[in-house]
Amino acid sequence: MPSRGSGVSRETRLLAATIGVSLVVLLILSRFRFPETSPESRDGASAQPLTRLAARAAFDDLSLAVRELSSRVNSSLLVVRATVPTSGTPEARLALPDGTRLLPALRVRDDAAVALIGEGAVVDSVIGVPTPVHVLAHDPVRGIALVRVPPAQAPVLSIREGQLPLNAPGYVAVAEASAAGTSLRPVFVGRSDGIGDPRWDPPLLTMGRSAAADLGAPVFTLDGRLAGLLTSTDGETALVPAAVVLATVDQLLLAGGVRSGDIGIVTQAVDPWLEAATGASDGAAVAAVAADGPAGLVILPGDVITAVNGQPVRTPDALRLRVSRAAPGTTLSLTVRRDGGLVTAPVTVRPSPATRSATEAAPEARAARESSASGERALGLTLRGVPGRGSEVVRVQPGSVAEAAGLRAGDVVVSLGRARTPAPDAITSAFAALPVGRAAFLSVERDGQPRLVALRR
Amino acid sequence: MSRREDWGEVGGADALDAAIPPPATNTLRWLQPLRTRAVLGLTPVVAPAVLFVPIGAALGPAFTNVLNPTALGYLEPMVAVALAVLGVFAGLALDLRGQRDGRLFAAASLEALATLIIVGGAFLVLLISWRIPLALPYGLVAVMLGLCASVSSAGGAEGTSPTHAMAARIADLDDVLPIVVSGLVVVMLGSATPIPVWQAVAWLFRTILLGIAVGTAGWLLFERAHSRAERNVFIAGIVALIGGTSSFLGLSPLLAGLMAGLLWVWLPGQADRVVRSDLQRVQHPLIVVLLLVAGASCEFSRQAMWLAGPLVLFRLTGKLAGGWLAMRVQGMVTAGELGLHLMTPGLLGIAVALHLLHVARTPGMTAVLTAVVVATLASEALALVLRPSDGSGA
Repeated sequence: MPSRGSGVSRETRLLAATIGVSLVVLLILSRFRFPETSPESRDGASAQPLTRLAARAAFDDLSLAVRELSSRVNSSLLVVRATVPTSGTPEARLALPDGTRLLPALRVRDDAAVALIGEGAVVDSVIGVPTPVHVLAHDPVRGIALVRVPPAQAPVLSIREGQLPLNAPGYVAVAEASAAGTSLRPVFVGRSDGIGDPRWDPPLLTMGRSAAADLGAPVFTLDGRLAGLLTSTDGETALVPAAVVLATVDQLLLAGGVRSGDIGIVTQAVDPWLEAATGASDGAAVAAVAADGPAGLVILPGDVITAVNGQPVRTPDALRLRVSRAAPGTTLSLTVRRDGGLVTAPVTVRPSPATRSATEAAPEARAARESSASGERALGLTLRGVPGRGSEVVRVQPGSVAEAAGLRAGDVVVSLGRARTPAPDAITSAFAALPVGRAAFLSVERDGQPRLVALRR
Repeated sequence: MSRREDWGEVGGADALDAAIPPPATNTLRWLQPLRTRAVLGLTPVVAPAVLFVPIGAALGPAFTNVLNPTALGYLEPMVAVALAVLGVFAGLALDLRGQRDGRLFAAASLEALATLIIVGGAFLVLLISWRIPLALPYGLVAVMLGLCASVSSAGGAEGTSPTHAMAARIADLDDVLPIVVSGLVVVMLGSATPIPVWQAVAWLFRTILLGIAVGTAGWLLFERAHSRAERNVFIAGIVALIGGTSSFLGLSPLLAGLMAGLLWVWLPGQADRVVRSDLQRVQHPLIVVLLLVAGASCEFSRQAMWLAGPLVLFRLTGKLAGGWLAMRVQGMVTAGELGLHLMTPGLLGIAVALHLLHVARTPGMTAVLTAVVVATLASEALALVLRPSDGSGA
């Protein structure tokens, strides 16, 4: 409607003014950044001021909240039957007498579900699906399997959200599996801290002991978000955050599987004897190095690997898992304790079907350490040369350094420090030249398995 | 949505209104705010959102926790039915007869599209700049905010100007585009993984098929009803079926209801008039529940407050620009200020945001709903200030 004083209508003037103001506001506001969320607001203390005044949910409401949550997430959960290794993994303790486990799987796509079945386990079947199971991809190191499932009848739970810390102390809902289907159980998390795991880059979140029997289970917050999947690390029940799981799933779907990496070394635990010889309290002691392997030129027998890419490695198993999940071709930065100091050695991972590990510390070495006395002692070794291999131990003198180090008759010394196939004289000479308190490292073969032995003067 | 003819109150005058005459001007004046059409003394009409959303917020977990999360979960089916009712009304409004109605529909869709693009585009720029943590794709958030801003209500039908009469009709028709697009967004939000657009469109067609199937069943039932009471039961049952099935299947009750309403308009018989008159009796409590749940679902977080302010401004710009364009498309009424007549947001925007929250119950979606609710209330207040110069409208 034209205004009385000018030819421009009120509507046009208002529109022009509004557009102008909007553009200016847009320009100004686009220069701002949303402030980082403070810890206080992240735990909900200040995000909603009125919440402080709110009446807390009654304890009896918990079952109703879980029931309501069940109706929302049930379409996203399936049950798979997996055969787990007979021993050696936390999941094995939870297995039925027939060596299988029923565990919940989470639908991540309309036709695919992910299950955290554990290392070395295999999926046998999807409960309720008569056809043979079709494993789309498998990550044996992390124990993740992606299986094909019947397409969902409805759009499934929205699970792709950012990684959020667990709201502890507080309740979460843990999925349980049975032959009849899945259900949710509230679990109280009193405290949740970050914990490192060699299988995953980001830290996992500890969950306490109340969910120890639910390894592999999806965990939801009571407002319906996927928190993650349960696993075990260093004997602790921990949560692999949802964002980490989904990133791994994406990678698996893209690559169709995981190729294990290898750097061509054999390691063993750092026992007290090795600890005294190397100065490393934990890590993976290198017992043997493949001459043609990626570590052949940079890692020596006697080295103790204490970290990979800056992440501490406390056991040979942790090193094996960390190296195994590295994609072939990637370069790992190994932190190595050598000659009392720390050196960093880059090693490029090669594909390998398996990396052997000599993780069992020699009981003899442990006994030797316990009986060792301070002061200089004789080497106590009778050796004979083995052409092309090194020197074979013929006899070990009781009470000697060799016995304390765990050497036994029949062992074959294949390397002495950097020197390969050492002659008997070279070994005795090297020991004799050692200053008191220093150690020489022998790589020996016993029953076909390499071992690291430290001869400490 | 806006009401037609005598729908000054939500759903129009019902049997109770007819039986109880309005209070005299000089008696019981303090009871006036209890009537949704005269709340706070703001005449001629104040949207029910102004009354019931704050009550819902006060009862919700953010304040007194009377409507705690468990109770809100139990009310979800009722919300789905309320959404279906709103969809049916939007479908019934699509009673397009002749070229004039066709041009009005085109103008209404253009107006909604312009608002959607302006609000969505502005928010896309802002969200990318702000890097606001919503755990949702910024494009999807921008579209959702644009959708909720693009619906409008021309207020009561008391306005006598030709522009206001046309605005009321456009306000009815501009709900169609947002409802259809929200059907797509519902599918994309509800999927566990990002899905291609063609797959979302396929789900959209399933929603349309569901609406047509249930609508056809309802039409057959209405035609066989032997009494008014029986027909009322059939209508309530059909609407509950639309809301329940679409909600269960993760589809949009709004779109399914729209298709059913549209079908009843097109099919021969009296189905559309029957449903319209009977649903007016049902919709009152449903819409009140919807608004209470929406208020109770709000969380007044920092993210929500950052979104709400710009949403009011960009919606104003979008509505003025959309009204300016729509006036030139319809080409029948020469009076201007159509955008100012469409300033009142109504309640469909809140309904769409609430439905999207039920599909993806995430903190980010809660922030979107809260922003839409706050912006709706602010826009209602703004509509009282920016009155059209012809004196009609909200």
